[in-house]
Amino acid sequence: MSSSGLAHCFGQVIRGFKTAWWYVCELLGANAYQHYLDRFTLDHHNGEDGHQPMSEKEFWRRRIDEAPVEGGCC
Amino acid sequence: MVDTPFTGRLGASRMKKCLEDGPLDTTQGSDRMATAKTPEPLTENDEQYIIRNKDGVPVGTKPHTKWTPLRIIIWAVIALAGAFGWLMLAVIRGEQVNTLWFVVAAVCTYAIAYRFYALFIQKTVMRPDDTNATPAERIDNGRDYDLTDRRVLYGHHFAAIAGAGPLVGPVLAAQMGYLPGTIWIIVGVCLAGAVQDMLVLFISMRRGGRSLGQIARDEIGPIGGTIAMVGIFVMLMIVLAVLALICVNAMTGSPWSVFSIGCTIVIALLMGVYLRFIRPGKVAEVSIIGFALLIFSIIAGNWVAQSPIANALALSGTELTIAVMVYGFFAAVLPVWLLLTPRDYLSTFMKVGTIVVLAVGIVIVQPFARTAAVSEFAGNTAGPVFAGALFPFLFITIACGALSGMHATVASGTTPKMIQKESQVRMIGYGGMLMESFVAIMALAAAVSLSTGTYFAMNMSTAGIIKLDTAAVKAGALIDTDQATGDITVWLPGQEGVPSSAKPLTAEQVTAWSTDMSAGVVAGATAEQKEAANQAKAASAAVAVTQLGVTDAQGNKPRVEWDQQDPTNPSATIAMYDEAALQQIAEDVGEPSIVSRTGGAPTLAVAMANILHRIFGGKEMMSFWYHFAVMFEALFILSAVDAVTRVTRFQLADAIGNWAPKFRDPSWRLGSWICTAIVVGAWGSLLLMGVTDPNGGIQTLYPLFGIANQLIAAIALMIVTVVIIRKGYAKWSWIPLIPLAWDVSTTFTASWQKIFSPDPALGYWTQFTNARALIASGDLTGTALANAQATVRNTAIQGTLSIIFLAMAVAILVTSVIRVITTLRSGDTTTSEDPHQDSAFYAPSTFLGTRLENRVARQFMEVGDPKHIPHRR
Repeated sequence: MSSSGLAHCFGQVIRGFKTAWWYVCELLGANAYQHYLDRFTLDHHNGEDGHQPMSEKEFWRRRIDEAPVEGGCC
Repeated sequence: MVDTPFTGRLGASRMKKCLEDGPLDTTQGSDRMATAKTPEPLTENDEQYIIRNKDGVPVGTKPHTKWTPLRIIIWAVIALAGAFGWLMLAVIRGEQVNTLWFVVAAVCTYAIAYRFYALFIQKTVMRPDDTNATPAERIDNGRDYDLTDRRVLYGHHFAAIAGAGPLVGPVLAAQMGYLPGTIWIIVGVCLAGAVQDMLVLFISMRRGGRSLGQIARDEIGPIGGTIAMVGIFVMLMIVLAVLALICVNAMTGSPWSVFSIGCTIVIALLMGVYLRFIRPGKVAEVSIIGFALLIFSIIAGNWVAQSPIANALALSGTELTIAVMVYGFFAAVLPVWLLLTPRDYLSTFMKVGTIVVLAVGIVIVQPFARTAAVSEFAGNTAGPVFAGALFPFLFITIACGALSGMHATVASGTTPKMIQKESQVRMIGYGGMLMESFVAIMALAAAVSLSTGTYFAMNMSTAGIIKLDTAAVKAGALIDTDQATGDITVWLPGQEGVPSSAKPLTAEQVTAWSTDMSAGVVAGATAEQKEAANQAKAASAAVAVTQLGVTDAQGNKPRVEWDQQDPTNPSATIAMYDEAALQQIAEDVGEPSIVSRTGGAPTLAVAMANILHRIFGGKEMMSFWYHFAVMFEALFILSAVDAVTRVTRFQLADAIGNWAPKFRDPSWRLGSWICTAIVVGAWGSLLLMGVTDPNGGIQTLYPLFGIANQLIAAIALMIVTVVIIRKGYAKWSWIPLIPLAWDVSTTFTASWQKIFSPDPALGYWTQFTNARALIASGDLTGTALANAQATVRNTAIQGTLSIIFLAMAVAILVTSVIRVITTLRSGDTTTSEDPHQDSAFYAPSTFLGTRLENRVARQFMEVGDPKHIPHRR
């Protein structure tokens, strides 16, 4: 296999791991604050309307405290 | 550059930004990695398949499958492979059946059912409309209503429905052989379980994500709806009790398991504090730390098990029951951030890991099935794991994995509030359940790879073992004691090669075993007493399995068998038998004893350890894999126990609030403590009953669990039928009616037998009358008297619960049928669906996204102005 082919293969593997990592993070909800910020920017025109986004700490506090509890699973 | 994951419109804006900034970072979870180059723009030809709203924003794609020759060939190959798998499993069999055929038959059947049957249901009764906004798009409050990437939601939904159920049900059902369970898991999921999950999800999604109970109220009426709500509550209590019982049984007398499972609670608390105060929001980071600690606690468990404190951690069932109840109470009243949320992270992590580990193990090791295809216990009620013949008891023993009512609560809970497009329901609802079924198939494959003797030695109650030993004395069984180790070998009269040193088994010997076993479980037993009890268990179980009226795959009488590594040649193994084999298994997995570890979890753990050590780590790692398996099963169970306790506590507070409005106030601490105590008391007392049951709790309680779970399924399917008929699709009502009819016939027959059967192995009331008569006769003393009294008490409760369940199910069925008849007569098809609201959102509906879908998704990123999405805050 040529070196560029190898590099390509390696790149694919790295990419696969990154995809898996992204998936796990999304599944756990780890990116929620970023999603919230993106959304806030959109809703409040980047804070130009006087609203300020929650701090990361405050966001997580509220998110977890107000999360619905799921009762399924067998 | 295709369809990068996004959440709601914010993803759209981010995507737009990325496009302006230059090439997109496609590593961010984009699928179709190989084609991560700019897709060609949409053509005129594509346009005919694209659904747009009035602003021209794409909101969906029309189905447009063309049957190309290649496609036909692919599906023909899948069908042939599946047929061949079934042929190898069910017809040819041969000397030994490779469990890889389980996987082949399952995967091919799933593919065909998903592609054809699920699509047929989608076209006939669901008719998803992508111009209609889903609740997530309409309400989108960033909390429970949250547009979630379909692939993430698939994982989410799977993690919510799958727990310990699909892992233990198939293990218990293995007493009937591997074939009945395999057929039911695969056929059942395609025609029943996945259909239920998908349709409930769809119906709930069209109704703003309302719960099953609320839908029942709206569709069937207030009486049926209220009964359904109360019924689901009571059934959940028995479900929790049995799940907790499995967990307690896996920990009883095992210092290692008690330590590592106890550690999961401590680890969750640490994670909670870390996330709250040290590094808020670093969820992935804390999950990895938690997972590493979890692995470390498994390793450390070994040191603890060999240390002086081991005896203090070898807890009895009753002690563990109290511990689980105390835990359940605190888990439900403590703030969620401290215990519940972090433990869910661990649980999700482990769920994904479990599937991977199981699949890798089965596919690489490809163990042979060692139990018979259909065992003798399929046709009689003598089975020691649970009583009852194949019909109806197989179909209630394997619930999760084939058809599970519990899923209806998830499919009408969080998932419908997060779905992006109506057309994704098939993938998430049907596809999610197929994955759970796959887990069940792998659990079954693992369980049947143990020798029949080992399987039964692990799954008989101690009372059952003594009973069979007494039969062995009568049958003239001979035992030969090894002078050096004291291990016994069992010989049956007339068998060839009986050594001259073999002596007849005596009644005194059996009594001595029984006494040793009882002395080992009383509170305050010494380490020596526990050791003697474990030896007695191994010896008596080795004798007992020979007296089971069952044969293995080769048609031989079962015998405990185990392969031990040859000390002189590490790559070779020596076959061990009987007591020595049982002792060796216990030593290999790092447990004091593996005899009579009912509930399915330890059996699966031994089977998984036996498979996985061949790939990872050899014999040295076997005890690690055993405790890894026990831990994830316990983790799933504990997650279910505290989450359901919490949810039902709120429901209870709401119900009590009708009379005492103060209970509705969630900030009233005392009220929430009272409600939690009632809920914990309800399942805890049932759990205690199971733990102290003289016949072994699983044997008597598991059928009740299965019946409860499957009656919830009956309620869900009945509601689905009513909704479909009220929608005007009466001609397609056979789709839910097939599983409903099957479910009703099995659960009602099972309930009937449990209530009325004169067979003492089956009927609760027959056991009750017999035990009462025994007590009245005055012949009983000591333990026997206490056991009879426990039987009277337990069977009275179990019998009463069976009657209540049956009565509730009948009431719901009757009210539903009345509703169906009035609907058909009046032709009234008014619906409780939410009114149509134009969607302005696009996301592909297939897991990977077709070429067209990914191109449309890209266009949506460009033209789908976020402002077009309604209900912006």
